[in-house]
Amino acid sequence: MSTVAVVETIAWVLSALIAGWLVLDVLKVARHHDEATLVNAPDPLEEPPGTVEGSGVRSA
Amino acid sequence: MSATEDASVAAPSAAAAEERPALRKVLAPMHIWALGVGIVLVGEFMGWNFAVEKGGMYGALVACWVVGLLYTCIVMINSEVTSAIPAAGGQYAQAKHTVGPLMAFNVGLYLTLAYTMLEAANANVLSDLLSTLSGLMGSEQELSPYPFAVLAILALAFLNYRGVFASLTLNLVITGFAFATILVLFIGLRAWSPSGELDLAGLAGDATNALPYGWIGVIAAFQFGMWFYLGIEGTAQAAEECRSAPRSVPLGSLAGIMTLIIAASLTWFVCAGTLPWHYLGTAITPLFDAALVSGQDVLVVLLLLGTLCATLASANGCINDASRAWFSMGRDRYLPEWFGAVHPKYHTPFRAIVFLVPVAIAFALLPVLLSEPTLLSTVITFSILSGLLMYSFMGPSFIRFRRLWPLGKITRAYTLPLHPAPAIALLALSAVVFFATFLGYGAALLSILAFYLLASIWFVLRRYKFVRRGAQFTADLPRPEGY
Repeated sequence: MSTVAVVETIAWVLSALIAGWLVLDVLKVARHHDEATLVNAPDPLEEPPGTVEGSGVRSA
Repeated sequence: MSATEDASVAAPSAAAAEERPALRKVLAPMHIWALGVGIVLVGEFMGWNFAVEKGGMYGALVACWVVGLLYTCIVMINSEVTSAIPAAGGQYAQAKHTVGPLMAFNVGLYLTLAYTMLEAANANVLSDLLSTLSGLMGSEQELSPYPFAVLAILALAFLNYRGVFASLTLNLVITGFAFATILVLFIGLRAWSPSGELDLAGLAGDATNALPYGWIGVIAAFQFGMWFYLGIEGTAQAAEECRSAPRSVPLGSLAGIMTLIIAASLTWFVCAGTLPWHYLGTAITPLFDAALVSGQDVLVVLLLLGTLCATLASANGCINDASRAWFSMGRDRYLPEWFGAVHPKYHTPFRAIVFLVPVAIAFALLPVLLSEPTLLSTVITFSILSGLLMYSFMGPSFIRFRRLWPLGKITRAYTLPLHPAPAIALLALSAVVFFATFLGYGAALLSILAFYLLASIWFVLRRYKFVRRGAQFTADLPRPEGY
């Protein structure tokens, strides 16, 4: 096996490992956490912003 | 309802809000600089030189500075608006507050596609550079472009997934190194000295290499002048993750555009003084070629590494920015809300990052898979045109921003001077660059406009019903009358 082939194989293996880890972690988070708590969306029932002057976004 | 009952109802809601993970506020001005300059600097190492083919040596210089003025306007406008509305999504959030949902959707789409396409092009170029490197190291076998393009995208996505601080600190290091290699090349060639290696007489030039196609050539060169700066507006994407956005975004962005104008001028000067204009106009890696001409091995190795680092930094910044734009649209339900999730441990928009990985890989590999090298330039053109469409909206949007929140009504960390001159200049310069792009890529421009028109129709007919209209105003600003 040539050096080029070895380097290319290493790149493929690393790519597969990273891709696998990313997918597994996405699935793990979905299994262990309530979906409603993951989405950091503005809640229309919360107090509306803009009552005081200043700057910044509302952190939900 | 009694006060006690009120408190008991409010308590779980407040607790739930506290439990929700948010993007982590960890970035400083240097990270903003690294994000903006990191995305762009690759344009100094390759791409800008096609302006020489269109307009000659002086045409490229005029393009460099005139388009530099366009981007200076963009950065100044961004600095004021982002310091008042520091939200992930940057220009998307600005459009949401100043214009409306349809404009915001389009801007979010421009941002995502522009950065994803640029990331794909970077990965493609990176694999080419690695082949060159292996050739320089004496390898007779050519490297396959597939594994390295895929690995680059996945490794950078992994880094971005694990946290914004680490990914932008890496960008700071590699962008700083890449910028330093341009300075080293300038010094190594003794470019300031008439007795140095630069052909200063040729640089001063005559009509044959200075303006070979006259002023229409200069206008045509504008589309490639954008390569010197394309992406600096991405600094606004990181605003929500800054420790102090009103301080970090203006400081990092303005320092970034200054760095880029210096780097662009030095790049033009060195390349125009070392390479014949016919060659320079078609070169793939002009700065690296300038180092090759010098015959100094140290410069050759440094510039190759500099080009590699600039490409990596650009891809890394693009992943960061594209994912923030996609995430913000998901959070506001412009897209399925699933994309608006924040990782509970790493505090990153993890689903948006992972979702865009296969998209980037597909666009990086398609030109190779189909044996169509011109497809790469189409991918890059798509990225440039998406950016250009966004710039053309920023001027009018800023004028409206100042009408909604006049000076003195809200606190601004940075105030754009000479308003409305920069906004009008931006609009006029965008029109000129549009015309220049139409000269070179008329069909591509029309097809992209058609694409965004279809996307807008989809949004209005199928998606707008999911948007929570009452919750769109998320900035901590007083609501303007009649908003």
